[in-house]
Amino acid sequence: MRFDPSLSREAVLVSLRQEAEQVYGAERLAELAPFVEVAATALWRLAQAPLEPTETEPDLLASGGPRG
Amino acid sequence: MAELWERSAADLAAAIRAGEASAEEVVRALLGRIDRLEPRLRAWATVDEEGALAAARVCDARRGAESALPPLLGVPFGAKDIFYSRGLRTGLGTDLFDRFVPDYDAAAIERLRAAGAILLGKTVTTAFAYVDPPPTRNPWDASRTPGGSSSGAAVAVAARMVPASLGTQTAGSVLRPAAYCGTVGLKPSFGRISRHGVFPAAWSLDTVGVLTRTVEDAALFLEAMAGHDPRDPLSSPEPVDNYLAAVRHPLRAAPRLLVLLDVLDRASAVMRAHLDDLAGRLVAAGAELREARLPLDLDLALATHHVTMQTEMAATHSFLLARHTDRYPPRIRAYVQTGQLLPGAAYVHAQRLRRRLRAGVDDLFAQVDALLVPAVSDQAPDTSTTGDPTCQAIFTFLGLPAIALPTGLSPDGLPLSAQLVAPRFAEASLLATAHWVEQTVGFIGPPPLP
Repeated sequence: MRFDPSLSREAVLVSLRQEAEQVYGAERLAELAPFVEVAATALWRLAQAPLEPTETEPDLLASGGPRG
Repeated sequence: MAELWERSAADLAAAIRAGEASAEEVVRALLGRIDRLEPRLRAWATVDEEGALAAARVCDARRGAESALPPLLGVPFGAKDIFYSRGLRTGLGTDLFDRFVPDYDAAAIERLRAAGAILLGKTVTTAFAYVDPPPTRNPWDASRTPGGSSSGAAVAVAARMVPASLGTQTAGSVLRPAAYCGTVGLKPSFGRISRHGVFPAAWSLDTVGVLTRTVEDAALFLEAMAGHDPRDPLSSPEPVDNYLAAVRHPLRAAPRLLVLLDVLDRASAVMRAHLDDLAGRLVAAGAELREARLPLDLDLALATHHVTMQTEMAATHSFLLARHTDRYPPRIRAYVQTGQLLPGAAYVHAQRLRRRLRAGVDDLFAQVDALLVPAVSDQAPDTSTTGDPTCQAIFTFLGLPAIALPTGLSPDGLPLSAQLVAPRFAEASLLATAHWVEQTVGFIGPPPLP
């Protein structure tokens, strides 16, 4: 699965569904389908929010530090 | 005079300190209440009758022997069954752990015991604090979900089986069940209460909270648990305020509130009508009300939370799931397995967006005391789900303190709940504002139980 801003929502869903089938087997697809669909939409939404390399650093330690 | 089982934690603490009731009488009254209602509501994973009564006798002996008594002496509480409890089964809502008995207490339980409180038992959690529906029933209507994942905590408090119970929130697992069951639900800032000894879901999101029936009780429990703990790497060194003083002294002026329209737009007509009515009553009492929108699209904000939580939960569960694939409940199994496929670049991008969103939301607080939004998008839905996290997840994602307040009933007779959200580590201000709302509009009464 690639994180690729050029992919459409449908393409992200197809790609994630194919990977799920490859990894877990076709017999698991029905159980996984709603989760794959939600995750694919979330990935697509993130890919539609571009950031330049120098723009914003990740907030990797969440909000554990002091205020301000 | 109210029955012991229906009194607040603050009331019970005062009564025990004054010798008007013994801790043993309080514990026995609550055990009797549990005996009556538990077959119907299924709120408890384990009730520690013997341990609670023994602890109560120790409390009663201390009252006669010591002059400086701790603030929660003799007050019983419950803890969601993902908090480790020394010598008491901790089942995590799954039969994989049904014989797991920790040899130490979670930090939150440890601090409450040090404050004199008595662990009455462990409340039902959904499996691993995810969304597979629990056996627990909503005390207002058994055909409705109690919410999750702190399902038993909300039901036990709402049904007057215990005055307070610990919960945790990774998306909406304190505020949502609190809202569906008609209790107060406080999720403090990320890092405010140690998570040492709490089974993880997603490390950058998991937050310990408390469910009570009054804002004062939420302050009482927060004050006993808050503070830095080096055993939790993300525990905050930020100084702890005096939360009880914040609720016991009236606000100098009515609060300034900001309604977030993006969140309000996602609510049902019933919930929007309730919030409109509530806002009108608060303005009539002097509150200043403004409206604004999020600095980022709400769907994008929820997507960033989703990718963050699903990736971290995949990391939490990958090895355990590999060993016990067939014994995992179906929804968390599918969620984790899908999470294992998400690309690392997406997770890091979500954290960059998180920083941007945080800065924008921090700016919203410049001229207000708190945000005012619905705690949940609608009244409790049916038992096939634990409910919609839309109204809670974004504030969990940003680590902001939030509180659900049971401010009304729907035409169906189900609880409706407002949410206040404050800047990070502004719990004192949040609780003071919440207490003002409680005093101004009043909270709903108990559910229709015998």
